[in-house]
Amino acid sequence: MSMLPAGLLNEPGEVTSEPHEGPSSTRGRSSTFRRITSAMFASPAAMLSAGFIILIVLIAIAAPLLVKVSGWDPFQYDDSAINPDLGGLPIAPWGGISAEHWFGVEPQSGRDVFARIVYGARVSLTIAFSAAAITTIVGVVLGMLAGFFGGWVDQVISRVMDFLMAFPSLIFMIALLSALPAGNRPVLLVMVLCIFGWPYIARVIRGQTMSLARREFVEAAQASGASKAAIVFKEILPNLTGTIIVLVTLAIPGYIGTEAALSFLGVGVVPPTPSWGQMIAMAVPWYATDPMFFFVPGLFLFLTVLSFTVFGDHLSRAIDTGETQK
Amino acid sequence: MKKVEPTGPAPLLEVNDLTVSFAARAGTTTVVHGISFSVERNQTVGIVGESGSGKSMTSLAIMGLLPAKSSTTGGIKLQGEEILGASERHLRKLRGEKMAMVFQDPLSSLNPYYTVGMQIAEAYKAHRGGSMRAAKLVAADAMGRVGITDAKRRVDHYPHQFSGGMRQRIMIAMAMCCEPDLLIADEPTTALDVTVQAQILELMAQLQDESGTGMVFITHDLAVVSQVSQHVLVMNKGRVVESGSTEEIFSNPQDVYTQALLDAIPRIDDPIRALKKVDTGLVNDK
Repeated sequence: MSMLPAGLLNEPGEVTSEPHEGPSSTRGRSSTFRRITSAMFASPAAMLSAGFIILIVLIAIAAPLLVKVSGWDPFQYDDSAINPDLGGLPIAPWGGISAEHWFGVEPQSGRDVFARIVYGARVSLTIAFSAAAITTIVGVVLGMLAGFFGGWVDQVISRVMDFLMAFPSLIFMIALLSALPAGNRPVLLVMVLCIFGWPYIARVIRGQTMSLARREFVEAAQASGASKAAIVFKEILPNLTGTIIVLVTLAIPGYIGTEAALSFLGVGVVPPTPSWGQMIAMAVPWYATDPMFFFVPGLFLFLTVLSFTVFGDHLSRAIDTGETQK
Repeated sequence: MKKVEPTGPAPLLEVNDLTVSFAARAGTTTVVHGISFSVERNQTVGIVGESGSGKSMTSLAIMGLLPAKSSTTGGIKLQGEEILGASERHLRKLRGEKMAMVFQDPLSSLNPYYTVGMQIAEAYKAHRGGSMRAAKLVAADAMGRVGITDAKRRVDHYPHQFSGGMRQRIMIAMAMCCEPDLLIADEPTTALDVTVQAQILELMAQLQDESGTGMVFITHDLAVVSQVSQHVLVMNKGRVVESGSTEEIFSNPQDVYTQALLDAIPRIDDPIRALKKVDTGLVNDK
């Protein structure tokens, strides 16, 4: 909300100051970038979510280091932290939270929850980021092909997209992942997410490409002798940058959620490799006696997905504000 | 229907019995019916007509930019060379180099993503090659020639930093940067207000004097066409209903449609008269 007036205020200032600025070929583009970043900085919600995303990414990168500091690795059993007489419940209150185990311990095994959250972030983010990168590349290429060439190219790509989007993807993912050998589960997960994920990006890109391809500047480029490849890469693609950035940011939380869901259903990441969805699944039987075990991974999953979504929404609004003012 | 007689051995542009049609499920729709005209160097031929009369289709046919679904028959000769049905590769070389086009809406005919200098330089480089640095200098020079002050600095500005009239000047600079022999202007002043329109028309006339470029000027505005062109073609429903020198057409229109068009122009000395409707069906009665 607060970013909208900021965006509106910035643009007239830019225009009036324009004749006094010195020549620099990157100035206009960097001013667009500056306008978007200043709109983002003006919004507390966008800043908070960006902060949390950075925190999670840092945690995931520094996982081995953090685990050294906390003293427990994610696969280490701690029998002294659980009470075997109570079916393996953590001894300390609040799910075993103590100076030793910062987020408590797992019931029965006594594995450190902090270490598993930290390593789980690694797994979740790696899967979500790689799936987002691949679906974006596939989605942008196929979407642009369909939108630019139309005709039978568009027919083929659009029908495949319709088919994949109408498909009961979750059921298919479960079936596929349980049928395939467990081998390298994270890679399989990324592949499955990509197969069903790219149409959502391609659909938007196709629509935008179609409208851009009919714009006069494309016709003008043709009239000045530009080749098809030059038109696709030099005229249309740069104008899609904003859309692509927003689509990626909004696709990531979807993949984090799906990965968690699949792991929750037991077809995702194979134990003992930790993942947030899998931890939540393990916590289900303990919800009454050890709610903290459920709460910690749930909170991380919730905040991460929320941060990406809020950030993506704000980014898309900041970019849109600029585009309508052009 | 009178044909414009070529004065030289091979006119710059010779359009002969050009027909453009689109095949649809319901049957074939012909949008341009066998039109013929020619353009000499340093000459401007105006094509007037209302929306849907086939003006723009004619210009796109000359540029070879018609959609793939269309079919074109007849002949289009550029400097004696038949270009209708030429390969896409060959046409691409001609576009920009031999023939260029200026479009109606200067607001959308420049790519918002690049500086105007980049866009002119790209158009130049596509045909003449050379370094980006050299092409940028050409771009600055071209912008100076179309009357943009401080062109050296303005080349690095983006389209949204220019006014509509300035953008049209830039489009003209882009079209003229390779010194084409033929310039097709498709309603170049329609989106501009009258004062800017006058400036742009003056600029185009001045550039034509300097370069000797032949021009096809498409417009629905009779006042504009009377100012810029030596020859006029009046089009209605895909046919040329009348053609001749500008004076002839304006002083002594032969065709009923042309007379109705001229009669529809509001006059400042005759303010009470209601706006006249042009009966486009007239042409079919002939």
